[in-house]
Amino acid sequence: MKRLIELKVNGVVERVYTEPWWSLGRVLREQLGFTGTKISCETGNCGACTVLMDGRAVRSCIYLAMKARGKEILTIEGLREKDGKLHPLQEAFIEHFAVQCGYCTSGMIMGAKALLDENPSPTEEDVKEGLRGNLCRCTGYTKIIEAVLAAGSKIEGRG
Amino acid sequence: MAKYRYIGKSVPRVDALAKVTGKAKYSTEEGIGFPGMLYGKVLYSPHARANIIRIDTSRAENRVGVKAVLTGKDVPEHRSGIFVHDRHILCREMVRFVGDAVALVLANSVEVAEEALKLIDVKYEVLPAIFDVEEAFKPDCPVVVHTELHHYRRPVHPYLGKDLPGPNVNTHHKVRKGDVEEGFRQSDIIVENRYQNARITHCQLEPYNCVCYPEDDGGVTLWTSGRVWHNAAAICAAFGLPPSKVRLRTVYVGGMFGIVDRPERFAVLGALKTGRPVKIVYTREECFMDGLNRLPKTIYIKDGIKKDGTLVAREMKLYINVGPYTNIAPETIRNGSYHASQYRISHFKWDAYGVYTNEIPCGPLRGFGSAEVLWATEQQMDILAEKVGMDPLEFRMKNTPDEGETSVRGEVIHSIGAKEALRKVSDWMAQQEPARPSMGSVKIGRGMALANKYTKVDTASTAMVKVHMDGTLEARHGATECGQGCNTIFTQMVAEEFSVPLEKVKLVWGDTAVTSYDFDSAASRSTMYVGNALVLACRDAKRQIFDLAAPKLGTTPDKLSIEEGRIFIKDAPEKALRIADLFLAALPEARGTVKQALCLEEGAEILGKATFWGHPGVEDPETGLGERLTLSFCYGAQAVEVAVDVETGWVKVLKCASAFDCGRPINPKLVEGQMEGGAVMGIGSGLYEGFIFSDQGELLNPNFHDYRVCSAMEVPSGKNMASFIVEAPHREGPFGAKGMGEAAMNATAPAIANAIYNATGARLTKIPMTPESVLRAIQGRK
Amino acid sequence: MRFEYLEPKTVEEAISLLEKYDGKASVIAGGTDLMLQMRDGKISPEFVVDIGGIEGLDYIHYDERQGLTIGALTPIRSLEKSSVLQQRLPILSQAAGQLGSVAIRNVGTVGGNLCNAAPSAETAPSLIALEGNARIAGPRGERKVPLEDFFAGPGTTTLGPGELLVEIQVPLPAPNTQGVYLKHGMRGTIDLAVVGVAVVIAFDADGLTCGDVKIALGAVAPTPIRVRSAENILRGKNLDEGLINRTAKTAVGETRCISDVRASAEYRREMVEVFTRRALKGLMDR
Repeated sequence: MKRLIELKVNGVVERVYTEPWWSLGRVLREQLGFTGTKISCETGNCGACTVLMDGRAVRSCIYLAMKARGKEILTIEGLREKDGKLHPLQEAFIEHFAVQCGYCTSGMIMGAKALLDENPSPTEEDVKEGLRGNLCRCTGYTKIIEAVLAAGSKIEGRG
Repeated sequence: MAKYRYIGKSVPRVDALAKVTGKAKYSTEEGIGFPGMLYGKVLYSPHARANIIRIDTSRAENRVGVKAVLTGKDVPEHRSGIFVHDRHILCREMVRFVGDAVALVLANSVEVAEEALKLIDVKYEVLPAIFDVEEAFKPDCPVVVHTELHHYRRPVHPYLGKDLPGPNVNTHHKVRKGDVEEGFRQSDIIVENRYQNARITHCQLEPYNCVCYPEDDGGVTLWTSGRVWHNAAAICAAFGLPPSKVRLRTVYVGGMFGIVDRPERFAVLGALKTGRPVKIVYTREECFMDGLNRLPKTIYIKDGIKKDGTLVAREMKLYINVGPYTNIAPETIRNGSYHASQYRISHFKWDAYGVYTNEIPCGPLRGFGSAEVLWATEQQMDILAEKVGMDPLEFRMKNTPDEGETSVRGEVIHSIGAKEALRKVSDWMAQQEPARPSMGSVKIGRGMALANKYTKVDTASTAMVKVHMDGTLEARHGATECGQGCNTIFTQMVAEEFSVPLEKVKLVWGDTAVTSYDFDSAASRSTMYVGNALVLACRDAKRQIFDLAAPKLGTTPDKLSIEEGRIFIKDAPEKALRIADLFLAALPEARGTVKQALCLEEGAEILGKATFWGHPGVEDPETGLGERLTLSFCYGAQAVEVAVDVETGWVKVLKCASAFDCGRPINPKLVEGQMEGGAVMGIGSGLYEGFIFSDQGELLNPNFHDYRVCSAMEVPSGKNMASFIVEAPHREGPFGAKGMGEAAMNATAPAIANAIYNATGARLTKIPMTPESVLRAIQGRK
Repeated sequence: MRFEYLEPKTVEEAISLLEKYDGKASVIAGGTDLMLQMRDGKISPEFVVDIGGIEGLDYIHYDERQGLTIGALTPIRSLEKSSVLQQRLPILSQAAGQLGSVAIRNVGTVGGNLCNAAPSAETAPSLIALEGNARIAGPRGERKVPLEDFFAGPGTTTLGPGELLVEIQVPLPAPNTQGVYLKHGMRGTIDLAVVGVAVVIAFDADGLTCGDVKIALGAVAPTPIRVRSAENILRGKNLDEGLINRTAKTAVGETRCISDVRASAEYRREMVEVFTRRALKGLMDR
């Protein structure tokens, strides 16, 4: 039986009906319309569905929506600043050609945000290690890593 | 070199903003929450070969929420296929691999559909199956995959061959150049080997998915996660529908690498039978099982060379395990021949056989048959070089043809950057300090390989350019933006042609009802084919503009030019018009009304149109030779440095340099992206990726746990990943450009194998080079 | 996948639910393993008991007298990042850091990793080599079982009806204790282990003679195992190459490797030898 739950997504409390076995990713996409979060492997291996929960990266495809109650969820749609300004990661991904087909991009950027929030000046190895669970089939990662490092310096420079 | 405003500039991708903000739309988003939507799930065969005795769907049909359960009796009677028409949409009498589609459930939710699958009762008569390609090839093979093959529709085509040698052989492609026996007699050294490669799959991150809406006229509108024009043709053929009734749509595609229609035919079947919209999203397991992966080849090769390092003769025999259905295999099989003969070879003999088995069926995957063959030939080159005491680079340079030479296949070679590519990667690697082994058991080695990939002739693309009153150029094309960046380079081309800012170009794509024909987003062909069509359509639009403007400016069209939306007389630039001045709209505007007439006085609108057809030459079916068999070739080289742990067999690629000729690059950063992405897919295919089957033909690793694609960890660090663009403008390319997306992964695996040999003295003939196989090869050498 | 979702607020409540629905219920903590098993249809529980809402099971306590205690709901990532573990028992952070990806480690718990009972469970060999115990709560009170005896086979534990793993206890290591965990995956750490080797040696006061030696292996038998015959070779001896080679060879004898999609049994056996040797050499050269 569907249950009414409250989820706080991108700073806004949303009330939504969910079956208890539905994943957070499914509820975000199909019930709430946050389709920027992508579902790809449904085994937690590829990272396309990565969102932040209380600031930490989680795989929304294998995380029960029921368990996300009371947590702060951030999706790609919530990354832009209020005035519409892009997050430095988004800017860097554009500038460094870190995007090709785009299907991994949301999850990659969210994973990278968690990484930079924890360690604003990572080494190249740190970035690889931090994103090793986010698969990209198009870019070969080189430009993604470049973009994350550039975004890190940009954030640091500002901060 | 001509001065260009946008061509050759790394302008940002036009789709990047939509993609980094999560706004970009894929077909997975289509139909979410659509009223009346049905969800489809397919029941697959658990047996590799069995007769279907009966199917009882009654329990599944009675399940609440199930709208229909369809089986073989509900599908069109005819088989379809791209070459050999050998496949029904759902199996009718027999299943031929573990994963063959037996029934389709349509239900009001995914959960119900999945549960209903378990309620379908199928009685099978299990039969012996055949998996080994060389066994299946034999004329007396006891298992015949298609007993009625001789009755199937099968076009007369040079790729397919005739007088096939066994009941499971569906294709025989041959090339005959010179006389190999004579060539071997002239040779000082002969090297023979056998190589094999594995089935690998695309692993595009967007799972195969589609939504089909039935239309009132008996046709369908279908949202696809693949290529619109290719899939439209496949659906028409499978259902006997005319193209006018089949509309294919997509916006962005989450990775392609050759994927073709799979759930689409099930969704169309479901929508036509139920009259309701149908959505199907494959699970990752289904993507593996039903995704039409790369053809595994068993390759026998015999090379003859002279002591001075001249490659004289090459004879190749290939057995290709296509699985039980051919799809595009015949063409993929033929493709390999171009790559096997990329060097100067006086005597060349090639026999490639496509063979039916009961393993999973195959389809196109990045390179369509090229990388599989280069896996063998580029290791041979190193082996041969060593036999004559030559450096691998020197040996390749000696045998690489030049511009203007006639190729093995009889074509005059044009736009070849092979030697420069070889030199670039070798020079770069030579400048790098070799890595220091991290421990005693680690050996460091280097290797290289040359690769090419052609773009075919005898296909066509079209384009339209509509000129809006505000000067915006709406370019409509039939290609699919799957990440390769076609929309960005098309924008650059149109802006260049019209000399307007990039923002003035608007693209419309991904809809067969709105755009005009394109053969396919495949075979690295979009840059040349669609690019040319767009440039020609721009010129057609300009011609129309000049025709309209000339009387208004009191001159003739040939005296006119256009820049920044300003039409002017070349000799008197102050005499000019705006595009808006050509429109009727100016009149009501002048009278102060709100509504405008956005049209011309006559002829409705300015709409440039064009076709680009790659005119073919004749291919001799007996020799495979001809003067114009291809439109262009992309050549390139890769060099790698690897670390091999000789105690565990573990291999890590430490450095990788790529250099490819892409004619003139339209957007260098996009080309670089193809090179990096290709190299990493090449590393994956070389070291990690491969289907593993049980002895009953069941796929054991259909997931990202046990089918391993590269993660960021397996990629050399940024400073150790070098990409070089070799400029070799092509006379038939738009602005001299040609396609290169596939070639980018073709040299990697053999380069790694050559590097492992360089490090350890062990030769790997089977791909993927898993730690275990590397360890065995090292132990075997001792 | 369909189930009824139950969310106990206390351990007692969880136990009574598990007892009531014995055979029909599965426990979910982070869910990184359970969700996959349900999705694949390997299990289809009618009830899923989410213990994530139980307060007070997410902690790492290190006490100079009592030793280490870890709450069952502690995320793997916390083990990896814990400064006290990094200082006192680095082998545990090392092993934790090799499990999957950051996002999995954020959600997956140490209790879940152990209860899932994969032969390759990343945290098991080191915890076994440290002689860790499982504190189990059940309908008839609590009991303590050495982690070595916690596993029954691939995917099964010795937990009885209604029982719940609540804490992992690790005794205070003797002074001069050194440990190392090595994992061999086909690509590197992201893969499930083909072989995992944990070695913990309490050196004598001289810092050279091996006192107590524990060697535990993952992915080479139906459960993670200790290889006692190998441990015995080293006890009371100083590490040297010959001894290390003999120990590594002996360790292989106690494995029961299988062939699967990841590697053949033969390859696994060879890797047990290589990685046991490397772990021991690492301790010798420290």
